[in-house]
Amino acid sequence: MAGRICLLKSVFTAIPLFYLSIFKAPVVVCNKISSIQRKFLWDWERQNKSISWVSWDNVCKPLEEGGLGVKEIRSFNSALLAKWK
Amino acid sequence: MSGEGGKWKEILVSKYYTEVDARQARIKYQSWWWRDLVKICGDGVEEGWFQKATVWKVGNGSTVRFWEDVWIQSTCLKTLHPRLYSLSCDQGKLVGEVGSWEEDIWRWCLNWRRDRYGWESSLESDLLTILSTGSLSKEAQDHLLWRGDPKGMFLVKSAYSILTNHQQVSIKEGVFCSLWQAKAMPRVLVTAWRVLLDRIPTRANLIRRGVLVNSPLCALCNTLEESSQHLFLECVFAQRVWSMCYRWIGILGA
Repeated sequence: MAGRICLLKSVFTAIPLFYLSIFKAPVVVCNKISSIQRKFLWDWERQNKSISWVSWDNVCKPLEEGGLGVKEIRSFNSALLAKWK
Repeated sequence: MSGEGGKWKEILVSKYYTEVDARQARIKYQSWWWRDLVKICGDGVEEGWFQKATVWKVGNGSTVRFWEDVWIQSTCLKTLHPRLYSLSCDQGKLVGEVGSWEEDIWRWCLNWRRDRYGWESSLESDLLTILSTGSLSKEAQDHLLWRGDPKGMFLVKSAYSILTNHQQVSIKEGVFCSLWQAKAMPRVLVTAWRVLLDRIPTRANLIRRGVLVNSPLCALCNTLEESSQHLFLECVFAQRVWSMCYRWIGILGA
């Protein structure tokens, strides 16, 4: 699981980064991305069904507050876009 | 915001901002892209998150409004001294218009609609004390600073933490902080993290989620319910492991 967390943070956040820093992603797309991330984290590919033990909100919290520090896509999108302002 | 002379800023300003007032973007002829952006930054709403996170650094005072913009304190003077604002003749004026240069020294000059009463003049002296902390400079332009960063540069990281309402300064104590700093294999740390949150597939947890239906008793001692607390600390078997660990690293007791 630790390996998947690492990949989640480095790869799954980095892939949409370019688009997220230019366009406001529709809510549906954000939800879909989160959904893919969540399924990856809790190993849905192999078992096809698995319990998401920790809620996604908690996973997105920073490390000190008991999360994993994964970026929440919608807020991250807003933060990236604000730099054009 | 960053990069004053950048080409990118030139393009945006010429496309979306009128020359009359640099603050007010044109409503008409906006691209979808820009509209999304404005919406995301909470414009139009009086106190959008983006506005709250920025503060003006006054140069010659030719852009910042004296009462309405946030520049000298962390809130605008209008909300700080609403009474004085209602008496002021300078509503809507720029900072550079509320005072004048005498040689090289800036003198504030506030205009009022009528004389102040006793308690109002104490407010006024309050205001003047605040004003005395700030000064203008002839050459420099006004510019926006980002509050999330000591240097005033915009950071995506701080914007993200503002948006998610997480504390910006990380707490140095706390169990999770010491957990992630521990020198152990990542997979052990992740398991420890899940144990701390009680999110591991113990029998008690599995039954609560309807996965298992038979006994919730501990697989090792078979006497008590298998919760994560029991499994890692209270079980007889776990305690044997712990005491062996203690002996191994040379701590007596337990």
